[in-house]
Amino acid sequence: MYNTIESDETLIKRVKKGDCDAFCPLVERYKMPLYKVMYRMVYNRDDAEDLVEEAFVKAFRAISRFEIGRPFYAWLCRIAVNNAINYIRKERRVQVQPIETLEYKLVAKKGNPVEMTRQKLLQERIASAMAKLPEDYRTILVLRVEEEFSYDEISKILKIPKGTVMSRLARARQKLKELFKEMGVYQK
Amino acid sequence: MKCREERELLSGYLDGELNDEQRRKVERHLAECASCKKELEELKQLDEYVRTVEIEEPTREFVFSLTRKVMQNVKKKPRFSFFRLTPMLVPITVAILVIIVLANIDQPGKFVSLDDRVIYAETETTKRDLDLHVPELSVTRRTPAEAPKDKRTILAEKKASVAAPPSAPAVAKAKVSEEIGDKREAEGTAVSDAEERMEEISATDVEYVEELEIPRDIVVRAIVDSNGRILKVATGNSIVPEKDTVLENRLQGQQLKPPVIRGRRTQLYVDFTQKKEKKD
Repeated sequence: MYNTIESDETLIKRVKKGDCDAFCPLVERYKMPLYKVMYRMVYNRDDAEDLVEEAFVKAFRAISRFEIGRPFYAWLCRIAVNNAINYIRKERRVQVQPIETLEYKLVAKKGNPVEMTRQKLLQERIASAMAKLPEDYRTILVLRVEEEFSYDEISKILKIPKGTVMSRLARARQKLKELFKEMGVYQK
Repeated sequence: MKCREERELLSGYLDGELNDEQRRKVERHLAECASCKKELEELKQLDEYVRTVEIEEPTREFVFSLTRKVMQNVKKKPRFSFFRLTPMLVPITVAILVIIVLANIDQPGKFVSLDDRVIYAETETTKRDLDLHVPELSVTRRTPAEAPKDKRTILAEKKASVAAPPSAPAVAKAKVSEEIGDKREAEGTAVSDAEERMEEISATDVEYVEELEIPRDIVVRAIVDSNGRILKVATGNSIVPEKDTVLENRLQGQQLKPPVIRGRRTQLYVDFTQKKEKKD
């Protein structure tokens, strides 16, 4: 019902003119990518879903400030990421939930149970290490590693100079490497 | 730690975000430094690890009804954003509503009682501006056939002044003039255009008012309905005259020319006053 071939730009122009329903295809189009980003930031399904919803609502309300011609998804990410950072700071924690669905998937594959357990443990360790990262490090890593935004785009999303993007990413990776060692990620 | 500078660039190199000079520098260094080469491999692995963390499937509710929830949420508070964006629309809307309500007050069939305090400003407005036809009070003898030749007493000028603010019912003032030199006992036909027209209208079934004496500086206010019939009469010299039963009994039901404002019949307050004599 929300499928449309209309471009982001056309849809946003319609929303700006007061056609609220033109926003629906944008939600459909970007809800899953945004969910992934939010999930990587909070490692918790319920929180990630709430954050995605909040981000879309905020984006809709701020649509008058969106400059036509710029990439909508990057703009949406900025709203979502800022909102998530605020949320994390307020909550002062990232709760890593046991990944149940993953377990089902692995069972479905009928793989080696030992390997399965090992994989699950590894993933939990990685998630815990990520959760321990300061939120600005985690944010920039998610934007780069997960979403593969360019430094230029990240600089616009986070409103920091491009040089800072490079140095912060380098520091974030170093910090994560330390945390991986601490959490035993590298242990076979 | 002589590789420090190059190590800082490794992350950018991995992401392909270095400029040509930086990239060549790192590549030259990697060719001869095993430690940095190992570091680069570790960084690649690190990214792989980050990507391997499975993302939990979102709930069915999220997948199927997020859009609906977002749109509900968005439409829930449209007033908030609407008013925040355009605060000027609030007073404008209120003003428009007030005007609409007031414009409908004067519709035919609606009555304004004398008990209602009519507060109006005495702003003079020209007749042309308002397209106002002031009802004229026909004052002739009982027998129109032997109508007096001279202009008799009442009602000459249609110098209309209308209550300016839309908050008051339209008020028209027809100043009753007594032409200098006119004698009441003198007989004659009505010669003024106004009277002629009134006679046409009132010729059907109207009882004419014989004569109306209005003391100077006293306002006779009549409420005239949209058909030109006098409903109520009051006298006084204040803004809100008092009900005058005697005069009302005489004038009630008398027919005037239906008052029209802006091409629309309307109920009016009509004030009759005696014109002051001109001093020579």
